Amino acid sequence: MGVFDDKRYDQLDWVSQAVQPIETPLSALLEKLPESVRIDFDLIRSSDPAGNLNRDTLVESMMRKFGSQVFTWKERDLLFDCFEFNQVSEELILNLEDQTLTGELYLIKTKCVLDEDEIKNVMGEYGREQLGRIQAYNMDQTRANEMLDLLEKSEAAMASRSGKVKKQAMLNRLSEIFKTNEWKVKSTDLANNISIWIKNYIETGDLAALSNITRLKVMTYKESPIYSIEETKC
Amino acid sequence: MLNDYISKLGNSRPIFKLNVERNKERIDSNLVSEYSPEPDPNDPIDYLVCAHYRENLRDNSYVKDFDQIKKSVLSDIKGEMKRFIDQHGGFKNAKQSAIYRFMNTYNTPVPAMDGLVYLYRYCKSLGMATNGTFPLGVEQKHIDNILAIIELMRSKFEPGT
Repeated sequence: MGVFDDKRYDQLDWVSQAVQPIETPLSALLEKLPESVRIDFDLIRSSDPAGNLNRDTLVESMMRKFGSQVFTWKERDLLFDCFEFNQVSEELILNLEDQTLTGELYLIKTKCVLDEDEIKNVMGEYGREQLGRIQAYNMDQTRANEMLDLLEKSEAAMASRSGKVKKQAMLNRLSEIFKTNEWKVKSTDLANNISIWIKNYIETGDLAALSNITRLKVMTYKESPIYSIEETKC
Repeated sequence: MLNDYISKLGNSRPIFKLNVERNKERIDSNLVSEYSPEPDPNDPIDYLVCAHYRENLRDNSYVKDFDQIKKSVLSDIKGEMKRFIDQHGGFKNAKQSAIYRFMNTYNTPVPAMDGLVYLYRYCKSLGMATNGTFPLGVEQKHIDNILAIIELMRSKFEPGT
């Protein structure tokens, strides 16, 4: 095994190697979430005393129950859109006096698989959020330029002396890379890590982060999908 | 006194009709039997209390919001009394007068609150309109009487007097 090999890709079966699906914890979590949840009196009362119920709140509480990973709002929205309320009975009556809910109401899963295009839109979103928190005004310009050089197509930002411009150029470029699948990154965790490595290197000069991002950049020249890299830990 | 008025009123029953709304993303609830109090047409205080009736859902039942109803009723009464002072006080600048500023006091003590309610009822019995005027006319002695009562209340209840 060489340092530029993708162990995760090698472990995939031949069908997955041919299809090259994007690996994301969102899909795994979606699989774990129940197909259908019957809404009963207690569930409604725990959400709102007057019976108003929001799908997103309900799905979010299920997400917390089945997984602990942190997701961005856009990522969570993808999962929320996989569910909807289904009113089976014609009339639903919530009686707080008798503490009963008359009628049948369900929250059902309408999508079992996330659309690849939708995943691409949120790919690396968490990492980009972290990179967005970098302080632009006292950013190390040399290290920022090294990163912009690796990301390519950022000559204007490299020439600029503004940290804000450089930061925005990095964020835009990363977004473009994932949306157009330019680097063929096929894992959302890896996509998140790219931005985090860039942030770490610019902020602290972390050489492990630099090593990781450059190794990944070399792997992109192989024109094959990238699921993982042999990561150097700090 | 206002408490007696409010206590007489009923409550809504906490029964809701649920509807799936907005692309099946939300469930909204509508109260099936909402209580709406009917005021006694001859009692101006009852009219105000009913107009400002408010209840909150607490522990699976509706309870009357005494504080909020009292605040709103008192605010309306003070508003009308201020307009009365403006119209009949005989001040060049009524807003600068002591009795007008007394009406602006936020934390009115309970005895003063009761006094204001009685005074308001007296004004209404004389035919006072919401703008503080008396469209059907009123004898000057009544106006003098009302102003004297307000001044007396001010001297008794105003903080620092």
